[in-house]
Amino acid sequence: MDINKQGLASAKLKPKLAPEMIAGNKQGLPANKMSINLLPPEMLYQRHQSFKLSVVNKLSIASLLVMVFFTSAALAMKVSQKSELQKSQNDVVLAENKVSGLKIKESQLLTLKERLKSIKSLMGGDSKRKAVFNMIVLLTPENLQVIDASVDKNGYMTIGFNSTSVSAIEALIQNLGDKEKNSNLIARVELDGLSMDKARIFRFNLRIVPK
Amino acid sequence: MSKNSESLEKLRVFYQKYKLIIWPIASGVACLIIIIFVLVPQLAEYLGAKKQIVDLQKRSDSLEAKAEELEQIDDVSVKHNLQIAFTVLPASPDIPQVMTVIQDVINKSGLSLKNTNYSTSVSTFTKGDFELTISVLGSLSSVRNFLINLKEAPLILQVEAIKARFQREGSMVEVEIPIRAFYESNLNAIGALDQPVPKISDEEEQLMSSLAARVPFLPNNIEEMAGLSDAEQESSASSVPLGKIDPFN
Repeated sequence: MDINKQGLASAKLKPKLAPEMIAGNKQGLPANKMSINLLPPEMLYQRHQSFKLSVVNKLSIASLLVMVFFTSAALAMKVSQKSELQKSQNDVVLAENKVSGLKIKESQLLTLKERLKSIKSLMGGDSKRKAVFNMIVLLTPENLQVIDASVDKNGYMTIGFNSTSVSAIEALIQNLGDKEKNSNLIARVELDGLSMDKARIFRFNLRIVPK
Repeated sequence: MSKNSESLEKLRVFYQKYKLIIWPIASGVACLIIIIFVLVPQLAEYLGAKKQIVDLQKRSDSLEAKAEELEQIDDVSVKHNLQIAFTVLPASPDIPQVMTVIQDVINKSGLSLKNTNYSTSVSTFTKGDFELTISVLGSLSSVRNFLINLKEAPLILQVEAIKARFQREGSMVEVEIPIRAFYESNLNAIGALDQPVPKISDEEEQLMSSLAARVPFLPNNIEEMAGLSDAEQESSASSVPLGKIDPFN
């Protein structure tokens, strides 16, 4: 029964309204309309509970459906990815076959490179020995006579001389000590025994230590 | 029977009591199970497979690039350079070849060969090299020339030591020189599939041209050699005519 339609002021009637009527108003009835709910409070509570339950159930089902959707999306992605993976694998196999066909060429190039490396490491292993010997030959003055000379594996040279002039010996030692003339090859020159015989011939040995 | 109905009643009461939270808990647990056992592994697998695809594509691209690079390499030039390299550093100890080269250098330098000694003792003969001791006679400048010319020989020959004894009369000198000759037996180097194409550097190019200048004779039919296998090429490059196989026929 609509009380407002009877011409009574709602403000005056409000305090006399039953609590369930106020509850009815709260449940979405227009503010200017009032209703009388004659249902027992237990039933109202039950209704309220069943409404809650239905909302909870719907939410649960919705979340499960969302999960199912994601799962099926993931499975679909996996299937599409599998074909992509297969294609990539085929591409790699093709490229591998292409490279394998040129394996001989690559092997030859690698062999050449390794051999050049070996050649480079072996070349010039004796340059110090040769250089020391050639330098002594060049720096020896004409009036000095070489008796014997030997160069060992490490480039150490021992050389024996005969000379009638002291100035020639001096010239040789000066030459050997000059960094420009000795090409900076000599670290040390050791005089090993100097003697003079009856005929005033000097005999001496030099030991040359290379750098 | 009564026990069953009693337990069913208990269950009904329990459901009535907790029906508001049973469904959310059940669906939450189901969601968790799906996330943990399905979605997370699927996602991890997806990301892993994606990375795998990217890696495969990268590998495929690099292999394609390698194949293209290999196709562009001049086959004839590589074989020619290999011939030179195998002539300078043979694959086996070719003593007659070494003797021929040394004799040639001695003649060029104006020396005369007095004696040659080939030692196969364990102390001198090691893997990859062998020693020949030569005794030569000539002037000191000729010995110097010999040492210089040896550097330009078409083989790697290393002077181990020099022992010179000057003769009393004249300017002649007798020199004993142990010479070490080298060889390298490993023929084929095989690179891995994913290894980048080996490139000949500028320094190696220079070395190659200096070696080419040292090797006076190479077969003219390089195009024919290009069709040979490595083993055939090696034997052809390091062979020296030694006469007939059967001199009696």
